[in-house]
Amino acid sequence: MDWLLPPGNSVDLPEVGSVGSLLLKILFLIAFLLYSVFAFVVIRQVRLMEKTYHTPLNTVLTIFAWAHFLVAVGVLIFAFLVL
Amino acid sequence: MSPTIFDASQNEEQARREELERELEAQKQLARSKSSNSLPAREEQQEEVSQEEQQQKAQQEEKPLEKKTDSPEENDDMSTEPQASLEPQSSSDSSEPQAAPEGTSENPIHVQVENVQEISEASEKEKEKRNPEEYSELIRTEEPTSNPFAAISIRPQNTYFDSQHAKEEILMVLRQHPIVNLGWVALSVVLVLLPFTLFPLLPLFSLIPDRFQFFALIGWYLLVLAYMIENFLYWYFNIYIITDERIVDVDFYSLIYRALSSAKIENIQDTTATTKGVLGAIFNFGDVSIQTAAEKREFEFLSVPQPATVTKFLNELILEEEREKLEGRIM
Repeated sequence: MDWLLPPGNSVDLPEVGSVGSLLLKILFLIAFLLYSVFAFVVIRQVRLMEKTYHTPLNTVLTIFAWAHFLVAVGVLIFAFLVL
Repeated sequence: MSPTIFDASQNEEQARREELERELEAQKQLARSKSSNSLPAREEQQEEVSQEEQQQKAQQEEKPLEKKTDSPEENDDMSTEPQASLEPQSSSDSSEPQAAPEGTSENPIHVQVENVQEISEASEKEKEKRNPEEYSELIRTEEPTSNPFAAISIRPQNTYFDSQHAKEEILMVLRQHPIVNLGWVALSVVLVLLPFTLFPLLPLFSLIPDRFQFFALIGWYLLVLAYMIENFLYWYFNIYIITDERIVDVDFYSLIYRALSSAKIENIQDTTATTKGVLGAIFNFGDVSIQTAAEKREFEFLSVPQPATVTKFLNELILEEEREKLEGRIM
């Protein structure tokens, strides 16, 4: 996964201890998990609003909401693997 | 609104109502005169038809009597009697089935049925709603809006809402003026540019490993994205719908809270348009507050474009609703 990181970065953590890095990792994962939940709520809300008020743009909004959710989940998985 | 302006608007409304009532009375009188003219004509037709029938019956009765009286004198042969007695019967038998299909329009029962059908069709037509173009200048002049981002949409196409009735038509959809979004858009731009300027200056940020910095950057941009999404959805779905029957206020306060309230046009008591602020004066947007006799006493259309046009349109709808009441076109 090193190729995904900016040049000059390493996977090792020389500055922070193992416990500190683990805590940071957990914090980051919780943050991204919460963000994924938020992205899911956005999907639900867009669907609900589509039922409440239907416009031709709602299809685009639904696709965008799903894409946003997939990005959020992708970032969560990526953080879990890399950090 | 000042009291003088309020009185003037009230007087205008009263004058309009009086004019409407006068027109309606004139129409009713015309309708009465037509119906009174048409009734004697029908009676005359019926009398003529009944007279014709009586004449036919009298002729039918006379014919057998004449033949019965003539037959013993002229013809002694008894074989002719049945023929003579049968002739009128056969003629009457042959004429009745022929007259029935030809005289369906002349038959009084058919005439009455047709009249009843015509009257019922006319009453149904009267009960039908009028086209909004007939009573609203705005609808007449403006073309239907196809832009889904428009802050003021006239008869938006391919659009409907949750509790819309089958015969209910969306005439106008309002949302806040796009300039209202200027604040959060500007803040979003600042937040997007912030990591390049502020993050390198933070001592704590430089302490954490580079890959954590990388994910912190991703997290930051996701938060900015969430902020933008929430503000956009708030603007896009916080709408005010005006149909030919009611006003609907769809409130999208946050991602987990939504409120939908409506009031019938006939329950609207007063409308007020307010334009405030420099931006409001420049871009012509403001608030429209609507006092109703419904459960929700006041509807606020906040920062909508052309508030004066919206109130004028609402007044047109109120007048049409009153006209419907007076004409008995309440569906």
